[in-house]
Amino acid sequence: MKENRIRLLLLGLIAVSAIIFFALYWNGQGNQTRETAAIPPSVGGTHVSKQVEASCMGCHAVDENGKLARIEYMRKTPEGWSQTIARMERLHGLKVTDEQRKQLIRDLSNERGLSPEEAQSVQYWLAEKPSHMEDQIKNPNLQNACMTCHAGGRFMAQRRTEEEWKNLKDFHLVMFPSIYLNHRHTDWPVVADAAINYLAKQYPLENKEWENWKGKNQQVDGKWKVVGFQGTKGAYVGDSEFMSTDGKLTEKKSVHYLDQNVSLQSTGNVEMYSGYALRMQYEQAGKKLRGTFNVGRDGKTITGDWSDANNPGITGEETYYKVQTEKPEIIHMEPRAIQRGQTQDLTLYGMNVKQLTAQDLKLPAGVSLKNMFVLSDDQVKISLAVDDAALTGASIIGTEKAIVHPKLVVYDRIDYIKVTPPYAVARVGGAGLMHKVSTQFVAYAYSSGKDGKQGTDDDIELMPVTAEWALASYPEGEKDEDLHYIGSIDSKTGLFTPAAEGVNKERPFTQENVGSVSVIAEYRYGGNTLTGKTHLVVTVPDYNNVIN
Amino acid sequence: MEHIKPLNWKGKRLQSRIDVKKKPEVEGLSLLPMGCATLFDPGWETDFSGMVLDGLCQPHYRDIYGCYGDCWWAAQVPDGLTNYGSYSDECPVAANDWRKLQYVKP
Repeated sequence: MKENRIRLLLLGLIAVSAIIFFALYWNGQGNQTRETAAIPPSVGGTHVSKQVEASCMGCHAVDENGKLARIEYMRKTPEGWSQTIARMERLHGLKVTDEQRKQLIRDLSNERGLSPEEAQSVQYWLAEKPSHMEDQIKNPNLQNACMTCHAGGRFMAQRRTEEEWKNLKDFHLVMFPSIYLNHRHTDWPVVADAAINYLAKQYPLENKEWENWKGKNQQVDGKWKVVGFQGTKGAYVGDSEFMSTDGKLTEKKSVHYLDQNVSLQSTGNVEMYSGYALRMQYEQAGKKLRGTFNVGRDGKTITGDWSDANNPGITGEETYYKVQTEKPEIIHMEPRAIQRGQTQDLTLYGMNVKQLTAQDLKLPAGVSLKNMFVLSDDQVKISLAVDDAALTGASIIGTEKAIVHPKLVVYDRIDYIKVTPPYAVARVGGAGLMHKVSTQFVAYAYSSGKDGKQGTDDDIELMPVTAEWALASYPEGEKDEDLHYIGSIDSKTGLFTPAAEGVNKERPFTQENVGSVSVIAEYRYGGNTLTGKTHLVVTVPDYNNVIN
Repeated sequence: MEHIKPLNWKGKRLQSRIDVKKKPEVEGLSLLPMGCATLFDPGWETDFSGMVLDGLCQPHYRDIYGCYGDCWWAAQVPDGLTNYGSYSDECPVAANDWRKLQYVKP
């Protein structure tokens, strides 16, 4: 018995030694792999910035490549860095003042940001566009490992080394250990590995666009012309001026809504990140608005979105054009589309239009200019005769002598209307700390194109039209109980305003004011009524919110 | 109670005490267990499944700490496991104190 025990003990010792030996051996192999993935060392003495060194180096050491561990192996948007710093404060004891935090976001975005092109591809995510449907990413591993929880924008707004993409998997397992359980329908670590292989190839750290861009700074100071569109209120034009005082950038903007004949003034502080990304905090008629904009590579345009800070569903898209004095430049025309067989008046908005002559416009075949009347240097009225055989479709009408940004659309008739957003999400709020999220519905007129069939590739989007709006039960003919509680739609503008959040004791089973309905738009055209329909879900607040 | 018949004295007693004409105060979820979903999918609150909101716990305040406590919907509801351990301190009973629920930065 005693011999047996000794034998067992010896066998155990041999087994333990073998395990330790192999573990050490494999660990060594792993280190070798890490070392061979050589990354060029940091140039210069400062790691990102003095503020980053002061705030981050207490934990993030300089590694064998001469870089700050983790930080110098990834690039992110200002919003991404802001989230990272918030997490460091929340979980890892980082103590910074408001000013230091701002400086950190500024420095990290400037040194380790995205290129203008990379940022543009995730603009919808950064601006938190409401009811926006992301283009589908056709990689099943990303869908099953990442997008089961969050949108693709979250990873598409980052660039990392392969090692750092791998770290992201471990990060998720530590931060959200329940990931195993709530993904129990799949083998999450395996699917995540496959997703990471794809991400490392698709979104690597090194990128020529960023290398070419880094260190550059757009100068936005000066005057700009603005054109924008806000669903439910229509198009607007205006003027803006950026001013730098003591290193602080501010903006003053005045816009005029064309359909409603209403003017609004905004003033705000502007922060520029990565040399092109503008983030504004506006005051407009007692409201707080926030802007998420990017300056174009040529420095002559700024595009982006704004939203109401207290109702993120109220938004608009805007483009700025740098004011110049050389030639006429048209930034907007109203209406945007003209019908065959008619003579129509259009108003062109822009700058230097007093210099505009009939020869400066290259009108499509079958369209001729009948009249031109200059209202001011910013506005000109023209009359266009469109013959019965005029070519339908969108045409560029600018020439070397006049810049015209919008295309002129010629159509034979309006065949149908389409309502956006195609899948709308509004959120209850406004009673506690959560904001209401309204939905701005818009009906667009369409022509079926040459094939006369609705929904084919040759269909032409013409313009937004004024429709009559109503809500209906969903699915059709089913219970209409939701309609009594969820909120209301403005029959003239298409603005849906959700009801208040909270438990509604009036409602059966003490439900909230949530529900699911159809939104119907009716547009009268040529004696007929064209109908468009979309789906609206009114739901609970979004607690995890990048902005708030 | 329309389709079942009591077989023993206990069942009969139960039947006598239940007011079958009374409107029910609660209703079972139409598709169990949608309200406390088994899968982790975005849009839980926005009807990703296309089955309307019948499967969503209502009011959601009764369920929110079920999602919060064990970090079940980390992308939609603050997670109590790692990031926001004290999130519920201000509002221990969400169904009563929902006005105090706050936004968090994900």
